[in-house]
Parts: sequence; structure tokens; C-alpha cells
Amino acid sequence: MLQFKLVLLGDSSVGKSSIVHRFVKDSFDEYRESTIGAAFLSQTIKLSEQYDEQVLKFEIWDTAGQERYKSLAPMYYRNANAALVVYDVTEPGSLPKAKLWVDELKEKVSDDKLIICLVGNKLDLAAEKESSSLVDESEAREFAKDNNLLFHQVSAKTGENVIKVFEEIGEILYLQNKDKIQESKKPAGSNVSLQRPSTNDSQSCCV
Amino acid sequence: MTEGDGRLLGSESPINENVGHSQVVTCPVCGKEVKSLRKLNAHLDNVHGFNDKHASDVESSRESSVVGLNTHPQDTTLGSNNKGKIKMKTAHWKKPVDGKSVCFECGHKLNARNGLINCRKCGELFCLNHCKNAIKLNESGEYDTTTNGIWFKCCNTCYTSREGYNDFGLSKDVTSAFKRIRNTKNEDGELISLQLENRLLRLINGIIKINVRHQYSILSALRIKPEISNLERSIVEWKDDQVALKCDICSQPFGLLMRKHHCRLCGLVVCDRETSRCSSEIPVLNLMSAAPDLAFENVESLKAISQLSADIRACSSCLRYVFAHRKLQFNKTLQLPEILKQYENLHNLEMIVVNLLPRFKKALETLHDNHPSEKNAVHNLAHLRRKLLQNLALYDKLSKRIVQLEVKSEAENKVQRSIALHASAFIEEKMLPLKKIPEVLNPTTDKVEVTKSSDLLFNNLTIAEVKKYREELMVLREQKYLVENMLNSAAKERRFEEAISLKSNLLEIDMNINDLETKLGDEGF
Repeated sequence: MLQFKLVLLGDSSVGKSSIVHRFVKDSFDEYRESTIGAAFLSQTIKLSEQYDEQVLKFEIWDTAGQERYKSLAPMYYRNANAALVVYDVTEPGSLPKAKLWVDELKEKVSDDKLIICLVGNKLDLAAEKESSSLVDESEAREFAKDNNLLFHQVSAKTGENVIKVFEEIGEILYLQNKDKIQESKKPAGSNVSLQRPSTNDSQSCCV
Repeated sequence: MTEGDGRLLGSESPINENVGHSQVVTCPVCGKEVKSLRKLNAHLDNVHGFNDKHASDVESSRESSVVGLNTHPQDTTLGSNNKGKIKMKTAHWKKPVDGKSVCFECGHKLNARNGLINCRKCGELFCLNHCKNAIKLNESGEYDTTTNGIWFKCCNTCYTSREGYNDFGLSKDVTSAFKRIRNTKNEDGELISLQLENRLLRLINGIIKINVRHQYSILSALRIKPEISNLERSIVEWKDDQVALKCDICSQPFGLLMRKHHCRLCGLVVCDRETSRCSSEIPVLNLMSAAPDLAFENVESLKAISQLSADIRACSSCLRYVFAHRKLQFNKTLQLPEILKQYENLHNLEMIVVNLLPRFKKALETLHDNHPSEKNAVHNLAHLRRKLLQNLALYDKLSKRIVQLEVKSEAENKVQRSIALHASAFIEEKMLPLKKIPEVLNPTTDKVEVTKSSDLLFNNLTIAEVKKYREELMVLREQKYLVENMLNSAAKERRFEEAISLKSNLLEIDMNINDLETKLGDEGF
């Protein structure tokens, strides 16, 4: 089974943990406490037929958004295969922070295969609010396009689009690693070696 | 008949008068016969001048008038008491107009019922209610707070407008008077102490001489005693035992158990109770060593100093006069305990910080008011901040050193504890404005400049860097704890793949922690 490391970044209280919990446990907590340090969760998904029904496993590091824990982030995004940069669509201040994260990722991560996905959360709240107090969707979309990012607007509360984000990332990861997957599949699937390895050495106790 | 003479002079008792009527008495001075005691009194007063000068002009007019009996006509005795009232100049008094005058304050018509009074000060007319106050004035109706002033009625305005008046009464600056009194008292005290020292010196020298004279005599013990007691009485006149009914210091009455003693220095009669210690016998040698600056007779001429076994009784007040300031001087020359020496340094540092802080705040304000990007102001501020931090760091170090000192007594322990308490409170209080600085200054640009230009205090790291690294270290340690927990639960639930990832993360965290610790060096936790 393929494993991929995924990290969530973004300003505090934009809903990073909520997105993860929606994805992993399919639950939502109105009064989630803010994350301390970085939380670790994992989830497997099965891709559609189009992608050979491949099963992927995401190891997700959900980092804390508070300034205090900012120094932890590099450790988690360094070897990541994918990064979700989250902002809050009802909080205009969170998009610039998200942009800063994207810049940092581009600068610090040398791996050009890193998949970055810009995610606007709390879509459910956007309907209630006046459009003037919302983040301009086109601006975010433009930014994503300019920087070659994936872009989604989701709602962790209703679950809207959440799975889709991960599926899309999974599909891209699958495509990136297709060759390897097929290589690794072949020998594993065809023969099983029944030969017991030789124990004819002096180091071993069972003769 | 002279038995009543002593009493006659001053007495005005009616009994004497009655007795006097029936008998003929002779004047004790000139022998002249007078018919009654009354007449004798008058005769003594007038002819022999036993009474005041006014008496003479009375004699001629009224033979029967007795000066001593307070029936003197008003123009003399009463006149002298109320001199001011009579001599007060009335030129400034406003003349009342019948039926038309009104109270200057309330405007009511003035008549016999509500009064018709001139304020003695301003001379305006007032009703009784508005001219109630009493102040001291001189003859011409001006304020006079000295003893020469006499109490007069005045209106409210004059009452409240005099100098020094406030709602609680009259305030008078008596500092200079107090200073004068204090100085004279001090001088008196010095004189007394000089006198007492002199007496002590003479007494001790006398005792030494007596001892020297008799040091080879067999009967020395017999002879020395009376000679010393003669000497003692020649130094100062002793107060009469018979008159003394109570101790001159504690005022307790003497009795069987409260024996009388004479202080050899002032001659007063004092008690010798253990509780009050009004007087005590002190060995001469102790007195001499307590006052080494006095010119005592050369003791070496004595066979052995230990022979000088005499005691001197002195009262507590004399001892205080002679020895209190000596003891103070002596204590001053003693070396301070280590803890107090250190505290002095600490205190000096404290003063520096206290003096610097207002300057720092001022610099901060000017920076805030003006343009925040002004180079000079920022530099000045950074300089002050650095200075403050250095001093506070030193202060902290010093206070810690004080806390680590070994104490020799309970008192020192107490002092140490309170110093520690005070120091931590002080640092906390004074650090607060320094912590605020990033908020006050422009958080992105100026802060960097301030911290960059500040001196390298710790380990080639700026304070800001140390702070940052410590913060990071703390976060990392938190994270390590979290990951360890996650790893444990993953292992328990047999999620081995997760456990592998977590383990590698844990290794990474450990590496980072090590990195930071080496960077911080001594400045870690």
C-alpha cells in the first residue's frame, strides 16, 4: 500500500483540524479546542476505477496555527508529499497568511513534486455573511493559478468538498508514482519464494 | 503678738479679719501699733511696700480699702487685665445710625435685640450672629498672633482672611521655632554630657590615685573605701536622702524593698530595681574600656589592673548621656556582615535602574509621539534598554548570590528572605515596561533594529535570539511529549505503520532539541 505524508498549514482557527477530522472520522465539533503542537492522524482512501482502484494511505500532520508553534512546521512540511494551506473564507486576514505559507513552502521545500492545495474553509458560513466581509474568491483562485496550486472551497461542518480535496491529491500522487507502483506490484504479485534461507552460519544458534 | 505674722501678709481669710477686729496688733517691721489685722495689712502694703505700686495712691483716698482683697477699683487691677479693650482705637469703627444700620453680612436691620456690634478688625457693623468669632488683635485693630495680642470679636470675613487660615483652623509654620528649641536642647545635652564626662573622669582618676597610693599598704582595703566615698561626694553634691520620696527616674516611691541610691555622676536619688534598671553598679574597668577616648590616669602605674576592683554607681540617664553616642560610634566602625555588604551593592543597582526607567519611558514616549522611524531616537532607546537589561541581569545575579549566602543567625535568615522577596518583585515590576516594547514599537522593522543593536549579552546570541530559541525549545519539548504519547497509543493499538512514522518524527524532534541546546549553551534551562 502506498503511503503519503500530508501536512496542513494556515492561520489559527481557520479550521485545519476540522477538515482533518471530517476526512478521517467524518465528524465535526462546533467547539474544537485549538491544536497543541502538531497532531498526527492517518486515513486510507480508495481511488476510483479510473486510477485502478488504488488504495492510498495518508499520514496527516495537522499543525497548530498559533504563532508560538510556527517553528514546528518546517519539520513536518520538509518531507511532505502534499500540503493543504487553509484559509477562512469569512476572515479576510487569513488569506495573506496562507499566501505567506505558500511562499515559505516554495522557498524551503526543494522537492518540486510537492503538491500544494489552497483550501478555503467555512464555506457554510459564507452564505450567511455579506460578500464584502468575505475573502474574494477570485483573488484566491487567481493566486492559486499563478502559483500552480490546487484550489478548493470546502466546509468542514457540512463536509462539502472535503473528501474531494483529498481524492484529487491522491489521484495526482498516484499519477506521479504510477511507474513505481507498477514496478513494485509485479514481483510481489507473481512469485512467492518458498525456499528457506540458509542457516549455515556460525552466528545463528539454531542449526 | 506676732504669731500670725507669716500668714497675715498674704492671707485674706475672713477668719483672720474677725480675729483682727478685736485685738491690737503691732507691725513686725516698724513696731507701730495698728488696731486691726486689716489695717496692719494696709499698713504693710502701703508703708513697707509689700504690695504693688498702685497701692500707694489708694492709701490717701480710702483708708479702709484693702489692696490684697481683690476689691480694687476698676481703674487699676481690671484695667491692666483688659488694657487692650480700653485702649483699642475706635477710629475705624463705623458709626451706627439709629434704625438704618444693617448687618454687613446678612443685611438685617440692627437693633438692640439682634445686636449692634462693630467688627474690631474691619469696623463694619454686624448682628450678633455674624460677629461671633474671636481673634487676637493689637490696639489698632491689626492681626497680632503673638502673646501681646488680645482676643477680640470679629466678623467671618476677617476671621477667615487672616494669614494661614484654613478649614481646620489656623496653621502656623513653627519649623524655625522648633529648630531653635531643638538646637538649644541639643546644646544643653552636649553640655550635660560634657559635664558628666568630666565628673566621670575625675572620679575614676581619683579612684586610681587612691588605689595607687595604697597599693603597698596592708590596710589598703580599710582605707580605700572611706577615701573613695569622700571623693564621690566631692565630685557632685548628693541630693538629700530625706527629701527623696520616690525614684528620680521611674518615680516609684521608696520603701523597704525599694532602696535609695545616689548616682555618682549627677547626685540624684534613684532606685536599683532589676526591672527598671534606674541605676547600676559598674566596674571602673568596664567604664574605662567603654570610653577609651577619655584621658584616664595611666593605669600602668598600678600593680595590676585587676586590683582596680571598685564599682561606680550611675543612673541610666547619665549612662545614656555619656555612653550612647560612643556605642553608636563603635557600632559604626564594626564590619558589616557579608549579607549587608552585598545588599548595599544591590541597593545601588536598584537606584540605577530606578533612575534609568523614567528616562527610558520618556524616550519611548517621544518615539511614539514622533515618527517611529527616527534613527536617533531608536538608537537612544536601544541604548537605554540595553543598559537597563544589563543592570537588571546584574541585579538578578547579585540577588541570587545573596540568597545563596550562608546565614549565621535567624535574623540574617529573615533579612535574606526579605531581600529575595523584594528582589524578585523588583525585577518583575521593572521588566514589565521592557517587555512591552515590541508592542509599542513598530513590530516588524524597529523591533529588529532594537534587538540587533543591543549588545551581545549571552553566548554570542542576542537576547531576542535567546528568547526565540528558548521558545522553540519549549515548543519542541511539548511536541516530543505529544508524539511520545501518540507513539505509545499507536503501539498499543497495533497500528505499526503509524508507529514507524511517529518514531522517525520523534528522532527528528530529538535531533532538533539537541541542536537548540548546543546553540543555547549555558542559557538553556
